[in-house]
Amino acid sequence: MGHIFSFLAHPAYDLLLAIGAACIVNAIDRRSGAIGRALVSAAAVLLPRSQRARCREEWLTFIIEAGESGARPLVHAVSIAGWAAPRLALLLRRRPVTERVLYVALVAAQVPIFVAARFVLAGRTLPPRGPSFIEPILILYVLLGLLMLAFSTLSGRQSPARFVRWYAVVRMTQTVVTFVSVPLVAALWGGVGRILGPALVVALPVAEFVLSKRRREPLRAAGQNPTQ
Amino acid sequence: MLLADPSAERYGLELAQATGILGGTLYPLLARLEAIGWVESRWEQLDEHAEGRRRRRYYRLTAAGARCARRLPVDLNSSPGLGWA
Repeated sequence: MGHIFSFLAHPAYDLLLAIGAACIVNAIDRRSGAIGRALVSAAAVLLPRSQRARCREEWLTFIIEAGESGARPLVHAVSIAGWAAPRLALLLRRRPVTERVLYVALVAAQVPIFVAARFVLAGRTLPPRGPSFIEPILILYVLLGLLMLAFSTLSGRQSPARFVRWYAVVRMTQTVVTFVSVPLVAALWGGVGRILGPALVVALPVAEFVLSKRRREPLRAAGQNPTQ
Repeated sequence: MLLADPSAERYGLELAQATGILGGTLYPLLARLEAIGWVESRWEQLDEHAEGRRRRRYYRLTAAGARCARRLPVDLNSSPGLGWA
């Protein structure tokens, strides 16, 4: 192995290394503006789609105005690509923790409520052969709630417009299912459940709707085209 | 710097040069300030071909931002690199 790398010890190698390093530094120095533009343009991919175009354009202007050569545009570009872009990628995707916790609790609360409703309907009040469509409705309702939760959790990775569209479809379906099940629960759930059951069934989607409206406004605002 | 003349609009490089911070520190800072309503921004209305340069995004303090920034301690107010950015 020693003879293969013996050229490293040759004095001419040091000279070549110095010349090569000087050429590379010179090339970077002359093209630092172009390298910087490429860096910030690539780094903008990390951002949510709604903010990508705005930040890319703003950063490109920044680097162009910082100069075409020399260290300055490259230093700014490295700092933007290495620090600002990943930082903003997290910052712009983060949602208020309280809202997320409330939302998870809200959807999770539906599961025991409807499991309990299922037992009440199937075990006590209903005759042995109850309406066959009740169970699928309850399962569908819970699944839609979980689906909504999944969309809510993943929304940071989707465009705001896409999220709002899907969310609206799921919400409408769930509301329809809710209002189908309300009279059933009211009619079949005895005792206190005759009042509390329907009240909960109505209250949960209303609360969800209020939360979803709160969430949609900032999403819509973020989805606006900043170039207009 | 924004507080010196709250009505004045500044663009990214101008802010970076005046405060001595890098673009990588500046933009997350501006994004946070914008998110909490201390700063507002807008695109410059400009014919890029006629002017021969790209349009800039201008930032300025909001009334609430100016009010809150004046309440900051002097040493924090004059510090160019805010740690939480």
